[in-house]
Amino acid sequence: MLTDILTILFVGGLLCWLIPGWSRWIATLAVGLDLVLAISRWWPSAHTAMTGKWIVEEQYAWMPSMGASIHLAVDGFSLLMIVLTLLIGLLGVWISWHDQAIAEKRGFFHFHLLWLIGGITGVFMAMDLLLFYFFWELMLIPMFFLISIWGGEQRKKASIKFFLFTQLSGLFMLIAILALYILHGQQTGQYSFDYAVLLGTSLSPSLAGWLLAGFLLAFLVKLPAFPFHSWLPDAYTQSPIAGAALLAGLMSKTAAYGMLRFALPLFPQAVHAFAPWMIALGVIGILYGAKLAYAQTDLKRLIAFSSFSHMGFIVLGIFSLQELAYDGVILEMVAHAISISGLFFLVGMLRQRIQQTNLDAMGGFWEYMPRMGGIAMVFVLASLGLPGLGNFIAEFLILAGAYQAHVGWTVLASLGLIAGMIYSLVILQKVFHGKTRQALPGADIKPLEFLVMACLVVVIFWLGFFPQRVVQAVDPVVKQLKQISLQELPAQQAHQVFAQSSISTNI
Amino acid sequence: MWHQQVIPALFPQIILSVAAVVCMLLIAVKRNHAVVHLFTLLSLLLALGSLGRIPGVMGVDGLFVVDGLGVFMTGLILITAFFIGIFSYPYFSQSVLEREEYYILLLLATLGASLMVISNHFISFFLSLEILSVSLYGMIAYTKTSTVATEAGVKYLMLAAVSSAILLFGIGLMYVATGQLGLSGIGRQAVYTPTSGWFTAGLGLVLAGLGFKLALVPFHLWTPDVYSGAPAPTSAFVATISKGSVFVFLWRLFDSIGRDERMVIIFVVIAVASMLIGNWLALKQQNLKRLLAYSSIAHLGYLIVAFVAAGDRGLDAAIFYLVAYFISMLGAFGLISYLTESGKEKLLLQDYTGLFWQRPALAILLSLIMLSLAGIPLTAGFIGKFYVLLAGVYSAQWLLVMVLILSSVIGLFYYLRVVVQLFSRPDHAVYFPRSPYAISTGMAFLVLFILLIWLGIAPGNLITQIQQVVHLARG
Repeated sequence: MLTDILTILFVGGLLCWLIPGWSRWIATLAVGLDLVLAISRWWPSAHTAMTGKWIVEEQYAWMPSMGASIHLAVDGFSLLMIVLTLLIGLLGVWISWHDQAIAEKRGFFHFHLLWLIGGITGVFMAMDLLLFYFFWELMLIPMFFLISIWGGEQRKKASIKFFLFTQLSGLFMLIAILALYILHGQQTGQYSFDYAVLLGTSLSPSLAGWLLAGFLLAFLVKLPAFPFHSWLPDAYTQSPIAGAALLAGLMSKTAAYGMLRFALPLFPQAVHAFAPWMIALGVIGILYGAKLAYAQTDLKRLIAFSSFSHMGFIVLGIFSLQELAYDGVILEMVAHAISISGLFFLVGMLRQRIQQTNLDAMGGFWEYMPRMGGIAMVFVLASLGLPGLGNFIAEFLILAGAYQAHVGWTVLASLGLIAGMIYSLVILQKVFHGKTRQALPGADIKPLEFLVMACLVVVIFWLGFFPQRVVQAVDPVVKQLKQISLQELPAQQAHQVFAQSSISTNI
Repeated sequence: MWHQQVIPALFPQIILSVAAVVCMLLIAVKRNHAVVHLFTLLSLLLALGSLGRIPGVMGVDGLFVVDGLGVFMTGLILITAFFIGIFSYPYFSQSVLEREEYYILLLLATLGASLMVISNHFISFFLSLEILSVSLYGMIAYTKTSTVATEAGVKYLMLAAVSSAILLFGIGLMYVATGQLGLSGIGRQAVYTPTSGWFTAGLGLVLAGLGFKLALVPFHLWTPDVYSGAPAPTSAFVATISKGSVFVFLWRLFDSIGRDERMVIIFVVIAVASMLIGNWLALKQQNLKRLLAYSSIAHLGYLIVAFVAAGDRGLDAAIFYLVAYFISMLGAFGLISYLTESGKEKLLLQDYTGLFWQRPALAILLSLIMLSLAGIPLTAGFIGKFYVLLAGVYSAQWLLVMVLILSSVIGLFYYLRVVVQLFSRPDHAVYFPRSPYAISTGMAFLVLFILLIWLGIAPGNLITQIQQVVHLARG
């Protein structure tokens, strides 16, 4: 079933390219079919707590002489992320159905979109480290083309910058993977990239610190976390809407997923040494991102920086190494993906109407688009963490978990909630309230757009009221991660790692 | 030892020699471009077909050794020459000059290269090198009405002659120190006289000579001029076959004399310099052929990383890397030849603006080639880079590994610049010619395209194949 999902996406993408006239329908069909496939596996098992390790597992030979195989597997966590990817992918196809910006070479656009979705889905499935890296990089190529062909004015610069940042950081992860592979091979004689095989590799603390640094570099850049975010505003604002939603909503989540799935379980002891530094980065990211978001005059940039600020919560949650916080992080991954996609879709709809995204050109739109304003309010409120919507539960759990680990940083992080409230309300105020800048009769939301936004609204309410469904689905993963946080080090050893890691993080 | 089995082992080289003579006779009888072209392709195929019946490692009078490595590389060279032959036809059809002799030179150069990869002796190496180089002088300056081509030819002639002289001097000194010219003999003697001044000086000179042929920093200055001045099919030859075959000899040489500490340091310095300087200088290039020239300097630097890593892993990595690099470079220069319009090559990057909107298939192939050169997944180049990195990490060459990563990101920048150029919307109407000889070239592009993707996704077969070759090479 996992290979089917990938095959449908990749073949669907090729078909879109070959039959450009029908590309929207083909894309809808391919992603929709996959969504049905994925949900069909998830739905029955979501009600019962999942005990087995993997729900579905598939393995094929790839490079047998190297010990690399096509090993795909999903548990509740990955399946959740896959369903999310496909959902947002599908809505992305629909929201850009009439988008003039991509009218040229539309088939090629959908080809890239489907391959992007395929790459992201692959990341969530891969259980072989080389395959993981392969999909990790595979995501970049379609994203690069989406930005550089259908992007905004600054698309060349934005696409190259995006590619360079993520590629460089990814290469450090590749080195870490190779080193781990060789070390494990030298210790046991078994050369393999398989996740399950490499999981128990015993490493000296300093070496583990270096390898973890390699992985984290890739993840922190992709997330992005402070101070690796300089590619973010360009890439987010220049990419076409469906691309931006996937970039902010899901590609960033692949980094969080990578940390939870690979970085923490592979280097449990080194993680403890890194945690204080990472928490600091997370909290700085929350506050700095919020400040930057508030200072923007462009709606798309504002939303981009708000996303950056929210990523700080994810870093904070992951590295507080608490069970509650893990639940919170996973909920945040889902809730943020939904709310940020909603906001980007909103920007897309506005841009189709007024041909720009500058906040100064907006104002008083409520008069002409009351329904869109109402929907916008839902996402703005979700983004600022109103109880009853998904993000609230997530951020609350993260802060509650982090509080057990580091009181001081958590207090600072909670200030981020207030800052978030300010910049989120600015969106609503500047776009929909205030003086009317231009008359836009008949510009209210169209049926297809309404359908897209309604889907997202339903999901975000569902998350707010029934977070337990998600928490249950990811329970085995959280339990496994909890084991890691219990593995404390002897004090002296920890000190060594600490000294080492402080060097590594400075690279 | 000279016995019956030697002849079949040398069939490809024999066929190439005969083909060159027959080709000359064909031209003497009647000039016909198509006939000569087809004959060349057929004889290359015939030589390729005569490979593969080799019973194992076979020495030929201490001059040659036909082992797995040699056979594999001969095959690679023949296939590459075949592609270059295909690309040459539309390219030279537009030229008003006598075009037929080009194919004699192509066959001879291929003969030289295929002899070099089985050379096991300085004499056989030097002779094959001269066959290769002298044919290349002609191939580079072949469009003799073009001043840049002539200039490139003369430059190559001067530098190749000087580097040959340096090489010869080095060989002489090594002979003084060891009394041997065969690689295995030198290897035996090198154990006893590791620190002899003559030997070291000789080795240094040989290294400089080989460095010239491989265009490694600091012996790289000729590369951009020659690449951009030469006809595109010739540039492809210089970038691929000529370098690959010298690299194999370099490998054989150091396999027999051993890589001692000092040598490793020298190679580390050369590799670091080539990777960084090659990529750095490519950054500012506006000329696609010069860009490829600098990029090839960097790629040879990556190969030297595998060379320093040594061992079976290093050799596996180097061979795979060569295959990926050959495919990419062939495709790139093939495209340049194909888009040549009435003898005028499209050199500048801006000439390629908007290629995607006119000829999407070509633009996608060129993008894929650029991504492969940059080592991005889905392409053969990625597996190649991955393999080299693996070899580097395995032998704990951290400096090289880190420089490789940094420089490949520098490299990525200019490869992406090319890609972005292809996809940007042109300001004015652009026109890309449709060559009348598109079928064979189109097929060749298709094959390269499939190979690039295939080796990028499922390299398992080739890797296994190469590993077997390496084992055969070690007896």
